Amino acid sequence: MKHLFLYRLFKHSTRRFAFVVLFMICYTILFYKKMDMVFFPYNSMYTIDFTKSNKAVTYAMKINGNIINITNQPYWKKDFLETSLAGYCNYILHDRTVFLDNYINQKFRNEQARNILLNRLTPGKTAAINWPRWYARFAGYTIPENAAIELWQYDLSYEKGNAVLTDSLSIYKTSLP
Amino acid sequence: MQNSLASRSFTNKLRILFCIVLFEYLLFIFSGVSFSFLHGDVFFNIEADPVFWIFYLLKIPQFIVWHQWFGLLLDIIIIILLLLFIRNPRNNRLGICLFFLLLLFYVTLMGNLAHRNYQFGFFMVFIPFIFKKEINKIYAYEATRYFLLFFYLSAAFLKLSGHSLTSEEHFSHLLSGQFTPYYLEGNTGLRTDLNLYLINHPAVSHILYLASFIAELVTIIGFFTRRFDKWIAIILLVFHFSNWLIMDIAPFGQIAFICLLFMSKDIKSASG
Repeated sequence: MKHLFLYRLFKHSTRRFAFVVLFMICYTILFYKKMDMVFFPYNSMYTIDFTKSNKAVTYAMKINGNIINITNQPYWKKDFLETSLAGYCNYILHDRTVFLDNYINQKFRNEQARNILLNRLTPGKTAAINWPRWYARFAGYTIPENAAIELWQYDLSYEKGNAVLTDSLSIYKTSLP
Repeated sequence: MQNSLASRSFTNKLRILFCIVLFEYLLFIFSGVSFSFLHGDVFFNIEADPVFWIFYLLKIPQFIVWHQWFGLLLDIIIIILLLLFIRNPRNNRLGICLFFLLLLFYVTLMGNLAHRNYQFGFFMVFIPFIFKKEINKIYAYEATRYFLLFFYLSAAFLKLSGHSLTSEEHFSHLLSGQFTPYYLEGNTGLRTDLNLYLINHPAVSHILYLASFIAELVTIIGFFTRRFDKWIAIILLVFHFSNWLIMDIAPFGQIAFICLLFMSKDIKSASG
């Protein structure tokens, strides 16, 4: 008992012990409410098999029909280009809403609080309209005048021992002046 | 009791640790995703996380991406503070500033990444060093160490409770989504060959998944003794670098945090 960290902390400082216990209680409540916390993330580390098959989905942006390549970029930039595009495509596919739009609408009944939260915690329906232009520039591409920008979803399968493109879907088209 | 933490050899170990943090932050800069590079990125997607909410409710990340000069200033400040902290790792005020600045960077990057990566150790590593008194540092180190161990152990526990260990095809399915942009662009090589092999040989990929479970599970030893902390750190580093090879998830951001475990012996002797 005397060797336990919390016991020793209690003997050292009741204030700090109270802080640690409060942190644990807060985390338990957040976990119970199915929320996440940066200091103690729900670390499932690939526990759930969402697709239950050897199929995968990926997204790409095209400028005048040419795919923006991302895989030659350094690790973090490649990761950023891959996941932020997937996030933006899902945002487009869900009528320009993100996960928190649904979450806040469900959890907060007070309209004033809801509006403040939606205004500050979600990108909204109009603010991110020009995001594809930013993305292309961020990836190191220059955009010609009146360029056609497209977002595509690609389905891949590995059933034949190789990565095979099985389907593609144009999910967004725009022209940038 | 306090002599050990004040010793030159321990100070040098701390300097090496924060050199790793500096290296990790420079990687963010050279990859082109630090504060100053996010200028103009108006799309973000955050989760139901109260810590993220505080920053976004105060519109701090939004302000940073709208004002490039501010992002650049933050990058410069972080580098200068890290250099000062490497020079004097006992300065807890520097530790506090770096903890909050790097937490802000993590929140901003993950919000605009629209995806949560758990390479968050580059700010967590500062927790023991935000305290001034040596005894408080020791307790904070212990708490951080338990947190680190529990972080990995929770992954092992969830693998066990989620019954993912019993499905031979589980990891093979997960690997299907890891290299998709490479196939789309035709940018293939050794890693995509390995990826295809593991997808087509579920039994082999299942063995690797079990190995990852064991690597996470060994952290349970750390709850009973600190004697094997060095080996736990080595196993976790091997686990992360293997993830980079097999799953294209690099450990940058998490290396210094794991290296905290190499300090256990010094902290133990200091705490008596």
